[in-house]
Amino acid sequence: MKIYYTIFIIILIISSCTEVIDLELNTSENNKLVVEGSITTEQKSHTVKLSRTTDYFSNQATPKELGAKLSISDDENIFYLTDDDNDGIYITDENVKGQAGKTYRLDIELENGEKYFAESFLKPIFPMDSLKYEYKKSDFPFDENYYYSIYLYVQEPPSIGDYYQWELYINGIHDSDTLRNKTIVSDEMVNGVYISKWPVYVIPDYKILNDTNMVKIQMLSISKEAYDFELALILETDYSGSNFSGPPANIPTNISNGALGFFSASDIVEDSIEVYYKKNVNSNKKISSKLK
Amino acid sequence: MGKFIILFVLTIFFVNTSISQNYITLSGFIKDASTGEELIGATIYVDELKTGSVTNAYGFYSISLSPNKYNIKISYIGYQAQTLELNLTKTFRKNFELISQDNEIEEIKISANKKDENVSSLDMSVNKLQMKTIMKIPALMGEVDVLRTIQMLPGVQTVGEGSIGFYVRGGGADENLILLDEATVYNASHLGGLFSVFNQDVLKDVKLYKGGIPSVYGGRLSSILEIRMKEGNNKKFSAQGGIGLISSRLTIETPIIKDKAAFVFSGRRTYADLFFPLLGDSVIKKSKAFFYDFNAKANYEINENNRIFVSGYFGKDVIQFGESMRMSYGNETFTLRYNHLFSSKLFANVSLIYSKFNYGMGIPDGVTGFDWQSGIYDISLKNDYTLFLNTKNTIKFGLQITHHTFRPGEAKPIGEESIFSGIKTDDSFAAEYGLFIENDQKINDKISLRYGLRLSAFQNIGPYTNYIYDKSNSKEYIPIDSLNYRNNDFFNTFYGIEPRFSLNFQINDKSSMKLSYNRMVQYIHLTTNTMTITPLDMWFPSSPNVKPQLADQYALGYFRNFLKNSLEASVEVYYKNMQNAIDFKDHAQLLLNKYFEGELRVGNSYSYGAEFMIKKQAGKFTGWLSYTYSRVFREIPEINDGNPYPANYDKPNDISLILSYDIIDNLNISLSWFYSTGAPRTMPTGRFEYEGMISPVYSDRNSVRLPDYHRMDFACTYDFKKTKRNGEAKKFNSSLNLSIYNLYNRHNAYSITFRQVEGQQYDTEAVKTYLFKLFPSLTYNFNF
Repeated sequence: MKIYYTIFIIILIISSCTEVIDLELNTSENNKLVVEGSITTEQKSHTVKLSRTTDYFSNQATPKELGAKLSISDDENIFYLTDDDNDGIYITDENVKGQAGKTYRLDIELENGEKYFAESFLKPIFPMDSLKYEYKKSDFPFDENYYYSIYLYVQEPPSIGDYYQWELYINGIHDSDTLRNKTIVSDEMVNGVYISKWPVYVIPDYKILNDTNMVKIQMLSISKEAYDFELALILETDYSGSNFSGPPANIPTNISNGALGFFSASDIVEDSIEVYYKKNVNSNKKISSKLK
Repeated sequence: MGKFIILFVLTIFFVNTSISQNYITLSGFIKDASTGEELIGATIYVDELKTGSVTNAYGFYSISLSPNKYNIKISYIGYQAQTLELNLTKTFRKNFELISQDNEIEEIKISANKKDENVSSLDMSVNKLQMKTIMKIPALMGEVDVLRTIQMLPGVQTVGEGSIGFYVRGGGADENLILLDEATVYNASHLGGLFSVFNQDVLKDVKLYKGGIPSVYGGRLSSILEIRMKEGNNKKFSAQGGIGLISSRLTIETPIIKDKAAFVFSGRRTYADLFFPLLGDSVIKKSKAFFYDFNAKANYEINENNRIFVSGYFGKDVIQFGESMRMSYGNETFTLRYNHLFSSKLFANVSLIYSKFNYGMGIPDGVTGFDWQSGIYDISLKNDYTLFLNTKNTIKFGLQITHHTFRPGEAKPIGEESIFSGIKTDDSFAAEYGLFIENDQKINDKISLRYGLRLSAFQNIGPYTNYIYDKSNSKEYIPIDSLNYRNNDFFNTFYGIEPRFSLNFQINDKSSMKLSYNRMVQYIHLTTNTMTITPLDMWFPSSPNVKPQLADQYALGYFRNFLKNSLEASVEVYYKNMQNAIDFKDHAQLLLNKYFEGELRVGNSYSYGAEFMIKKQAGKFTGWLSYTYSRVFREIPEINDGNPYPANYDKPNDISLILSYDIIDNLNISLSWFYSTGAPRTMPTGRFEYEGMISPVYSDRNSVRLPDYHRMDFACTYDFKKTKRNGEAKKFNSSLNLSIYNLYNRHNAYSITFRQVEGQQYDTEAVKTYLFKLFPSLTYNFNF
């Protein structure tokens, strides 16, 4: 919905201005547990980060939650997580890997004995067909910059209620490192369709500096709950409070016992494409051949 | 209720027996002498009897008297009063023409010797606005706007200055029935709410009912805004127009058959986008952003007893962003109206009405190409009668039937490359009925009553799929089953019994107490989840899952005039209780969602307040001062943990001051000042970190307030000389208006948002958005 409201905001912005102001906010009982964790089908050390809520204007890192006992389990295995360097980030062994079709459960027991858990179903995903890219000027007014549009080609399955998240790596560096930089989508408008030339990521040209660059795209399956959580988190963090947004509301969670955050399970597929400096080598010029 | 109806029937019976005496009737139309426009609400007063009558919405009056010689006085604000002696021996038809008055006429003449309507009328909680008054008030960007003027009245709130949406006595923006020549205007906004669809040049009369709503009106909980278009000058060709900062407009009026038939046509268009090509950017060059309006109306007086009117409105907003995205929305209304006089006592009106609001948007091509359409379409038939029974009773009755078509939305892929599969939410259909009867009765010199009853009904009509929800989890209703209804199956019916009552107790010539009660039922609702209304908001019907909303309002007022009626003062208090008030779950998905009924959360709402107003309407110096104290709370079990919370537009203290002064004949200055408590908002109390984002944690809904709002505007209007050197009146008149909006340049908060400081990992800040700095504008108006 974001883009449609943007139209109105653009109109209003013609004469509107913003300024930073000092504001007194209520600061009450800000000490809830926050969980940020996931398990995927990638074999690696999976992490769960524990922290606490704090005052909105505290302007420092939120308190870490140390000394907790954590495990992630399915119907066969149980993986324990440890926080050896006391930074509130709990990790599994390096050989841990989720399996599609299983439900994963995260259990947390804090030092004070409080217990929390979350469950997430790991939904299988299917491979991407291919990636292509195009080097082109922005479509937005007053933006003279050039971008590399990475296009995705994939068959969306006929089942209703599929949700996706994509990750972007440029030359091995994770570019979509916060939620606001990630592409997430539901199949509501594209159910069962063959998706072609859909711009999954648009990379500003200052990020592509080598002659040849390896751009890797990961596609993850996420649950409806995870999609709702991620969308709400992006909206509440970056778009809330305007007169064109709905009333501010707390971001949902799948953690029990009044904690915040999310534990998600995802199947992963990936594909890569070589992107050349300011060139359209791999771009899709075959569209005309589709004409009857 | 049964007792009420019996009482009602008895009263009519009683009234009927009393007419057997030998009375005659004086009736006719009261019109403007220069244009032939009928005047609505003009007074005819019989000195000897100390009683009178007021013209109805079509300018018709009727008064019953015993044969005698009478002094009759005809008056209307802004017009020279006429007094004449009539020797009435038999039933008599007489039309009067009043001469529009220039400012120099002394104010005393207007109102002397006559009980003032403010005190004597049964209307309470009603604000009438003269176009002359509206034109003098300083306007944003020089665009005189009826709805912005409405917002300045006591008991009317706004959610922010960027929106023409208004909130009456604690009711939501969708609880106002806006009628243009009897046709519903569903979305009265242009440019996302900056301007309204009403072009001031073509309007004749504006009346807002906040309470004591007559039974002829129904279908919304909180207010009725009745706007009527000019009929057109049936004496001579005339034109008026203006050139402003934002838009230009032109209205022409012409007789088709002199004194018999006339035509008026008006158009307005904004032109900011005409300058787009001058801007260097290639995308902006191909962008569009404009709106236009057309109003047209024709009337024909077939003979003394029959008249016919046709009127229409057509308006559209078009926004296009380069070649990539476009959007348009607009209203269309059409009214065909027939007035018939069965006798000098019985006036009948039949109207056939079409009304439509729709929007469309899309991306014309490419992989994301789509086209999205949504709208509401109405066809109505209204038939109402006014029976001027005798000097003590005026009875109105009639019926209304409306067929609604709701198209909540369909998005289709367009272009060969589009990857969208398309999505459609089902259309739905409904019929709405209203049957009403009402009597204005003068019991004696002191007491008059208005009592009426409206019976309303609403039927959903198939084809329709009704979803059944599992509501065990209050955060997420889950559709578990569905029922399909066939074509033309009237599968669900609601009824409403809506009593209306007003009492006027005349304490003396200068003061009165008034009391009113009304029940209102609202069968169609708006999905407006945002702070301000937007064109994307969608109307939807009551259904098996959505009960009609109900409101009961009680109001009490004291009205007093000072200085020979030139100063009108009033105090009103009210309490309003609204049942089945609609709100939405957190992060509700309302667009293109066939399960959107599962996103609704229903509860109660109540409001109360006190409104003080002092107003001066005539003379060199005019204006008003109003103060309102009001509160509005909503209590919805599944929102805010079931605790009551103030509505977004709950602003306890509200002051409006409007002053206008004619320095000399042709130079007017006006000044306005507004103050209101800051609107309540939900703001974060805490934060948490997730993937490098600092996200808000909220506690109670609407528990923090924006800073207080206040603003001063100024306007100055200079009329170029109206006479030639030889003293002859000029045919072409023009004026120049300078408006300064936000005179002392206060940065009033439109919204406050919270964000991470760019480039900082942990720092957050609050950001205030304000819409307007000091904003001067110049408008040139003319007429000939």
